[in-house]
Amino acid sequence: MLFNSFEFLLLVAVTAALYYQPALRRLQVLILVVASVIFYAAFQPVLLLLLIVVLAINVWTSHAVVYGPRENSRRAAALGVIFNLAVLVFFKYGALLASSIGAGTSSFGQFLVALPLPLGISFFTFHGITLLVDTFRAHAQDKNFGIERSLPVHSMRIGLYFLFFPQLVAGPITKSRQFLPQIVPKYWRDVDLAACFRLATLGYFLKMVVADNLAQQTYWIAYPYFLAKSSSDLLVMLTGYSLQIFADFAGYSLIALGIARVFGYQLPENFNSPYLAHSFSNFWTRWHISLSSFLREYLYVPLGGNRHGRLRTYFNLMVVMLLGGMWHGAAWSFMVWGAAHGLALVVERVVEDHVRLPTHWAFRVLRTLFVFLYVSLAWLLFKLTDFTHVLEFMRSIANNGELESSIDLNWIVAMYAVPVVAYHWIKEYPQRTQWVRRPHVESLVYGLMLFLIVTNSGESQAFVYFQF
Amino acid sequence: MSLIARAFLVMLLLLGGYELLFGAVRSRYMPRADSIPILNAMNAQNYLYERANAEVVIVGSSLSGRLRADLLDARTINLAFGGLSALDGLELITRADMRPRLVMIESNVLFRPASDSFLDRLLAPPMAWLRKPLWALRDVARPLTVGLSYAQALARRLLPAPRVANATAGDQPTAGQPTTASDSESLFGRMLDLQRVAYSEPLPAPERTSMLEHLSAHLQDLRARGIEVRFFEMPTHPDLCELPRQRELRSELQKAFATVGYVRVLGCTGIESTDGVHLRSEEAVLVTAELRRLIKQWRAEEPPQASVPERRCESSDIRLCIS
Repeated sequence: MLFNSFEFLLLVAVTAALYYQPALRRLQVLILVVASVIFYAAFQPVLLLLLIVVLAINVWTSHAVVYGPRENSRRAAALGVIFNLAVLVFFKYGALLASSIGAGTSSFGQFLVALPLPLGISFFTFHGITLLVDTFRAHAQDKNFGIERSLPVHSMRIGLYFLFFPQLVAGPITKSRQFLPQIVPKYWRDVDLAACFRLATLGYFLKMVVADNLAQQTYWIAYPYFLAKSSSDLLVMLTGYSLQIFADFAGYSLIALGIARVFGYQLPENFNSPYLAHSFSNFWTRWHISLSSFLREYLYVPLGGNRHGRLRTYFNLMVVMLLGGMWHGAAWSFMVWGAAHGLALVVERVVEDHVRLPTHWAFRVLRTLFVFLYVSLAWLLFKLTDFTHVLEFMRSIANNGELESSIDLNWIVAMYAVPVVAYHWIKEYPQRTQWVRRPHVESLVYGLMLFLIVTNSGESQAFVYFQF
Repeated sequence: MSLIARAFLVMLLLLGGYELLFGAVRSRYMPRADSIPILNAMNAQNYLYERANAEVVIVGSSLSGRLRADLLDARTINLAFGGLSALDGLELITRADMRPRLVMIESNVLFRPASDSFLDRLLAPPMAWLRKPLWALRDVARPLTVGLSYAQALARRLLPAPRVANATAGDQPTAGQPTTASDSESLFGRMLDLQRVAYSEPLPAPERTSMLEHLSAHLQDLRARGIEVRFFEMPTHPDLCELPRQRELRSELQKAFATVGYVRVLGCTGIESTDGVHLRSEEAVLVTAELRRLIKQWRAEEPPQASVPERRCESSDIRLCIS
């Protein structure tokens, strides 16, 4: 049940209709939990059981942190965090670890390889970690941001936090201290329908018109097809993939934000014009913000952050990016991707620690361009998970200069780049682009997006981040 | 009026205006596809809405996609889908309740299951209902693609012709068209090696069972509706023709559907192909001519039936036949 399917829209409509019935107001949380279970079961009914087990352990440990014996609260939190990490490692990395240590052919190795990857596992286990850490930290300061004493009520609230369908399979990763206080009775009159419409329409447009159409052009970044493409085609396709992955994930996140708002919940923004970042550290405050914020708060800072000297800071940055890379998938190429970003962050930090960089606008533009090119090149590791193919691709860029290029490819990628550029520009410069928000212009823009969604969508593809 | 109402009003106005505009330029517009999936969708919609009375339907994968539309009989339509298989064509015929007289099933890639996303895009309501009366909603009229065509035509008129090639979706399902002999040889060699590896593996049992079950259900359905069926095998590079997968596929089909005709079109001798499995254009001409002869032979054996005259496609480019 993809976000762009008719079934999903029906689920949202029926759920919203029940959710705002005055007679059912006391059951609002239950209605959302049931809708979310239906949503997840549409993908992987068998693995719903795993989700329920993970949920139960997190309910129990988070409750124990607050209402169990005080001396045991640290132990309960640690147990819960370890359990979440163990589930993530077992289901997501088990097969990779088994094959890496040469146990891939053993019966246990075969069992691990045959295990399906539970949809959204990277997201719901991270929700579990934020729940336990936030609860423990708040409890240590004698605060409580929403852990109820009644176990059934607590279960239902945590159930909603884990299962809430707009964010269940691909985030945004919402911190429990941001989500739980929002669980209060909701009223239809409080829903800002125009805001929901803006977010969802823009999200669907980015996904269905931009990302799905670009996906058909970047399909050829696959071995051995790319060997026959010219250097310029390869670079254009790589740029296209960079735009595609943004449009796909930002599109998904915007739809999630829009749908969540229909039910009265505010999820954190995930993107802020990432390709206008003028440095790598700036990029990571703009791209997949909920993940980078999670990694900063729950990994980088506990590791010591930048508080223990330069070398330790560089080390921490590298560790965080390596693990952040691995979070994306069970393949060593994701770790290399993380290492590439870690290296960029470290080198940038070293340079900034020793050299005073010019602040002239032209230098800033060059840096932005460099960051975009580097980030785009690194996305190759998302598309080609076999590292030898990545090297072949680079070799083809270097060697295929003599092959003929495709004019159509250039035109098509350029055409679908326009909305991405416009989106970045409008978001980055809200004052200069105020005219876009004038009512009649806005109606035209959203009307045009709806028209293109209906007439010019690409073939429906699963969201890129669903695989993570 | 709220933003939502205004935006939907704008959308409806744009849709209505575009329907009129496209209707006006349709006869002069040369359809094009940005990509293989869109070409597939255009091809399928052409069958569903424009040529539903075709007597003979060829269903297949990108291998049959190489057949020359202009050399086929006027009452024959080629429903070969790049990246998909004959099962998609069969599924389309079944779900849309189409009634050709003969279905020619390409046997080469039958183990690839039908794509739900492709079929849903074509057949899921409400778009499938609306697409019939509204040209603007068909893939042939995708506004950005149409706009791009006109922009490129304008650019060609205003700017000097560039040196680079104008590749299109139809060129893409294979290894592409390398320009030098060494590129061609090395790429061709690699592609052929990859195909050899794939063809050396026998079909996994679950795939084989699933394929036979699906085929059996389709064949029963077609026969129940009085539609005849034939299997045909597209020739491939001789190195692949007798490898385990191809041999097994052939014998399984002949064994499971003994009463259905199975033809190996021309055989593999002398086939070079572009990548081991996709025919070169001169080879495609020969294979198309042979298929045409087989269809003619079938017609000669069939009792005559009143048939509706069909529009003949005169072009060698399948995209030109979709309008």
